[in-house]
Amino acid sequence: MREIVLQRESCAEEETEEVGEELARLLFPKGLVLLEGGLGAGKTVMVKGIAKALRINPQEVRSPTFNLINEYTCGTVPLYHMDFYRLENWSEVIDLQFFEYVEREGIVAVEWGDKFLSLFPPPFLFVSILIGGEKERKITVERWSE
Amino acid sequence: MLVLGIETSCDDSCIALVDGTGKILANVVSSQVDIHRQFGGVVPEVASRKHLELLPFVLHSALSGAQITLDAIDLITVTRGPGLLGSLLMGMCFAKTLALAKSKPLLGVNHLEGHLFAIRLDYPTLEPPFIALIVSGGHTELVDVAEWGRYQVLGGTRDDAAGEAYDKVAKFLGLGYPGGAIIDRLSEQGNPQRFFFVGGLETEDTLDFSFSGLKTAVVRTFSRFSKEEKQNFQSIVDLVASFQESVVRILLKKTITALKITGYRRVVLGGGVAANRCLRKKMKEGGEQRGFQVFFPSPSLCTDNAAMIAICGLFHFLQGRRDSLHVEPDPHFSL
Repeated sequence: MREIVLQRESCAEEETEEVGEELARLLFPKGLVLLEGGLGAGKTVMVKGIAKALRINPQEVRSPTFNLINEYTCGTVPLYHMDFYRLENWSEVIDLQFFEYVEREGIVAVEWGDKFLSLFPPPFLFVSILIGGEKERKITVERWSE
Repeated sequence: MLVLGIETSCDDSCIALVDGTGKILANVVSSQVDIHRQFGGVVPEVASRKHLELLPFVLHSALSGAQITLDAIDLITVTRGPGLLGSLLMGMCFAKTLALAKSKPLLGVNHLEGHLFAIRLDYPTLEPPFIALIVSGGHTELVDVAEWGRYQVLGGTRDDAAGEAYDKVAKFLGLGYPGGAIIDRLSEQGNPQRFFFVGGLETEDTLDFSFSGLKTAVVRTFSRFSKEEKQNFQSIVDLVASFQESVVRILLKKTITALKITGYRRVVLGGGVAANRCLRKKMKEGGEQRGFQVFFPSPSLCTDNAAMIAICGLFHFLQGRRDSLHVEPDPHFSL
């Protein structure tokens, strides 16, 4: 089952970050969020917002594209920031011990999470960031449940 | 003295052999050998399990290439971090097993410090102080190296690493992989002045970097191209040349500021992006104009490799440091 739980229009990075903070409240204290959005849509910015809400310094949140997983454990709950941009098949997701992270206390945020969307077992939040203009973004958050 | 280096912090499984003088006897990187043929099976592209499958082959290739047996090795060094935990675990487990089975001393090494030490493989007598710029797919760090072992990170990226921006721009434009090398080559035919991109934080009073906005600006410029222009080779190479110009300009600018702050007159580069020809050229020119010296490792020592881990480990070993078999990986290992 899918339902839209949040819809926002953003005109600046700061606003996208604020949506990330709202998102953190929907997820707290434990949950999975998959982020979809083209290059430069603001997926990492959104995760910076989640970090901020968890009292993790957003400046320390960097793109996990190469590292695949960045772990931030100094906040109110841990934040596991992943990026599937470079992954090509589901076995690599499993190999990353993805499901062990999901079982843990804390929030798991996955950039390019739409890549294997049909394979993720709900529940999770699915965020799509649509690029409007240079700064304009349309953000939709869906809750996927069984 | 013979040192074995093992590096598995990201995608590549690397093993090297370095002697006591810093001479490289073997330097094997899994992506550069035909493991598929030797292995006869499918190896995953990324993620950690593949290190487990590749390491024995890479070790064999290094030892047989140098005609050395495991018994002849005096020290085993391995990357402890930073990196992906699962990948680091594989390398460390492999290193510990060898150390235990062959009763050899073991030393865990910081991957970023390894990049700093890579320059010693080409310039064995080079000594700090200097400013180091480590630029790769996963890192963009400006480091004050006061002496070996004493570092202060002056600035880093707040979003994408420089090499990541290269790869993403190349993939977006359909230019292929590895993006850094392709853009570097194509840019030679392009006009770097055709488009002007300002980097995030470029004009701000910080030594931190931001390359995400630059990547987005390139995507935006391309999407504004007409249908014909999108197919036009010259427009594409002008676009990537202008992108590269901006990345290099920002790296140079922040490096010069770091030199001013510290008063140092030498710069050492490291990391995969340090193999970029445009960066090397502009850094050199900047040095000639402003009176600072620039040192680059040879290209194969810029990218992730285990020779840099071995030479870094050797330094600490000679300083008397040892690790026990209980040493654990540290994905956040800072300098």
